[in-house]
Amino acid sequence: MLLILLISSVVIFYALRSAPGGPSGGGVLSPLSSQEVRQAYEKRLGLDQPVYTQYFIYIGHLVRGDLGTSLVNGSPIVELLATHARNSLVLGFTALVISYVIAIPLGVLAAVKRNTWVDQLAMGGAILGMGIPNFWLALILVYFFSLRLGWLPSAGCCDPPQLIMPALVLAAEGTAVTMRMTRSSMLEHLRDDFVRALRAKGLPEWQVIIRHVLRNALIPVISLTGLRLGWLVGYALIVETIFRWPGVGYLLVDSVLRRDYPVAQFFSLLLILFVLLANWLADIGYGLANPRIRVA
Amino acid sequence: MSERSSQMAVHSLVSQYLDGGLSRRQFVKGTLALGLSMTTIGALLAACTNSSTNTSATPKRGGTLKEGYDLDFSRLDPINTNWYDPAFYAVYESLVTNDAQGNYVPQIAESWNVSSDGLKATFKIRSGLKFQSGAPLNAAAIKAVYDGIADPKNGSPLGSIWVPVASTEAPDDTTLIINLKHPYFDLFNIVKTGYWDIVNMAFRAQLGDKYGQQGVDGSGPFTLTEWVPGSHTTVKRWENYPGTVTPFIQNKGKPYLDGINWLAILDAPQRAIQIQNGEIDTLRGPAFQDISRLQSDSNLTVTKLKEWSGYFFSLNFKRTDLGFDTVNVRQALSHAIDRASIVQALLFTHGEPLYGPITSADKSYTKDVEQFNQFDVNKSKSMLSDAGWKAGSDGILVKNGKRFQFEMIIQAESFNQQLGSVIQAQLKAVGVDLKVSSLDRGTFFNKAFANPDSVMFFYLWPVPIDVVTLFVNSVNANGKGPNWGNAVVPQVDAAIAAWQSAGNEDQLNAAGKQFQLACAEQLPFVPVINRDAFWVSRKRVHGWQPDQWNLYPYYNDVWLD
Repeated sequence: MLLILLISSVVIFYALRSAPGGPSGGGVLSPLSSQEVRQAYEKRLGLDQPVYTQYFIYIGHLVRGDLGTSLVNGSPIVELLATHARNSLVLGFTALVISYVIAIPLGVLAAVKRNTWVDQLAMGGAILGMGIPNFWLALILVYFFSLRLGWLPSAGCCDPPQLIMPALVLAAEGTAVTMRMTRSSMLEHLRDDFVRALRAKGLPEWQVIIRHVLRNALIPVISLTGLRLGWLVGYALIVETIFRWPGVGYLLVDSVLRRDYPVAQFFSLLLILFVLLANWLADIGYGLANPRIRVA
Repeated sequence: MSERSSQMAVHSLVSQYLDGGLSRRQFVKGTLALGLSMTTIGALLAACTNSSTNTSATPKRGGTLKEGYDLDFSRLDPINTNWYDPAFYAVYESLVTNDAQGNYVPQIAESWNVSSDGLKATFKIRSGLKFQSGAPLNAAAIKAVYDGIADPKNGSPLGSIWVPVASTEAPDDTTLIINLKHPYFDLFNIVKTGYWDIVNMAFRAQLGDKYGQQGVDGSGPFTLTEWVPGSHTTVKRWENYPGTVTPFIQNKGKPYLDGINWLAILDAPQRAIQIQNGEIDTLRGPAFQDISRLQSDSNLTVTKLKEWSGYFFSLNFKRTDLGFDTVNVRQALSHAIDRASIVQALLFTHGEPLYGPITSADKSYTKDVEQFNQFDVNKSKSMLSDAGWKAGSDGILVKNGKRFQFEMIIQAESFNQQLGSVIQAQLKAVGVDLKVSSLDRGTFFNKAFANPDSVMFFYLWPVPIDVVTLFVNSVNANGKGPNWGNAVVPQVDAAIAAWQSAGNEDQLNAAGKQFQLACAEQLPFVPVINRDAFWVSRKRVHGWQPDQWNLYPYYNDVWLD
């Protein structure tokens, strides 16, 4: 994991500096400032030094716990981390909750009512959820719920009504995937011998489904959560930007556009770390779901 | 009738109309008799309507105004900012400002006079003023700001505008003297802008690069709470605000609002949605396609004003292989631009073609520029042919084996991209192959200084000639300033010198005309279009009055139902 982080840090550092432009054009200086003023500013930031020197200085600061400050608004990165990470966690957690609250009951219902209109409706919804690009879904929701009905704010942070649409959009694909996985897992377990045995014992059907089949069927769904966290990070970049939700994704996109190097570097690395941790959690989840994987 | 007396007459008519002494018909007849155009009269009526509806009830204290803004936020540092945002009108004050009729009225200075030889402007500063930090705001503090702008160490890009100023003096706390190298009638036009807002220079030095980001120290009625570019700027009421003497501001004491929250809404269609949905109270710059929808919404008031700024593109004089250093070639390209159809198609008629360097919003505007740069494809082709360019097999012009091909950089924004595409198509019709490169902000301004073939730009400034001089003055070529086309045109430089040495109104007007004609004919850049400025407010907002002469409304009178 450390090696991946190290390689990523080099790639990010060089990629940012290879991109055209620089911090002096990103809004820190007046666009009317002369070339001389721009060069003096970039020299003050040490950007006139070779990239590898800049990299080692940066890593040295990171190791000492100095995350730096934003070039654009002068805020320490620690402060940006506190506010934006919190916003992203709130959004991500809400999306996950929405996703499971919708997906699991519908997945169970679709499995139990297999090949009925309920199943077809639920699976049709799942296909739509997976097929609709989230930026398009966002526009549709804004059109209906903000412009037509006036029920929800179209953007911004951080009142609960402002959370609803971004969380729904962020949850959409995950809900669809989880619904389909719950359904297929349920169908698999509904054919198991222990289910026949439980029914033969005269256990009420709802108890068979909820207490026994669902408990088993949920194991792969739970293990998928780790992977879903990684996907959420990717989608958050888009959803937070569309809804101007000031999370880590929004900040990262903005900082890259402004060439705010310290912010872009740190938050790119943070997201990579998050995805690595999420994958690690997914491995653990698989291990829990199937002990043979853990033994192997 | 002189400009001044004409303004006074308009002022008087507006006052009578607002007081109910004149009917709408009488008002229109009176203003027409003064020579105002119907567009200006319409703008005045809109402002009056706004004013009358917004001041009829008893003001209430409290609440936070949420204002949508169509641009990203610039650093809140007058001396080094991209452009000045609405928050400048809340946290800072200038020596003088403009009322709704364009007259200079007191703000920090309570009175002023100019010596008979025009070489000395003396301002009487209000006594007992303080900055928000508690530091004294006196003549010495103002002198420090003006000297700071002139000092190259501060890197202010505005230094070339301040050239006529020889020195400043602060003999006592309430007297500020500006000594001029030569009479400079335009001085007031300069010091009224946000770039000359008064900032506590000691505090600025203390914060260094973080000034305008993490803190500001002005004397306006609000103090900065948070500045987050790309997202929002928030201010709260300054409880120790000593009040204002500016005549048109009715609330002379502390502001009614608890605070203001400006939201950068860079996605154009979203602005209209947010104001209609009640997420914001006021808005600057809705998308043009949304204007009629907003106008038909009974919850909203839409005010239309003329915009000070125009779109233009430069042609790099160093591209001698393409002939950009030749006026005939520049004129040929300009004749290929169908400005009227751009206004029709992209602005939904909410704007006007631009034939010279400044827009018709400015009192210096001369219609004589309209003899230049008219759309004429045949003339364009003929001029290019005379310059030795012949159509190649694919229709693109060729000369000495060189294709007529160049790149224009634009800032990535939906309207810029649309405009870039239209210019591209129109130039192609005369055999010019234009590549439009849409660049993000971090890249655009760096590349603008890296000798690009062409830069398309939209400036924001309420005194157009002064800012346009920055883009065309030869002293700002070759990376020394924003003359990105490296234009060196002696006629233009001469006109700038005349403008900067005009000692009275007549001389200033003559120099302004000279400058416009020189630019329109010689084309140090190619003017394209001017869009109208639209402001929208919800009915719950009172006392919010955008006007033609200030970039943004003042917030002291604003209150919410």
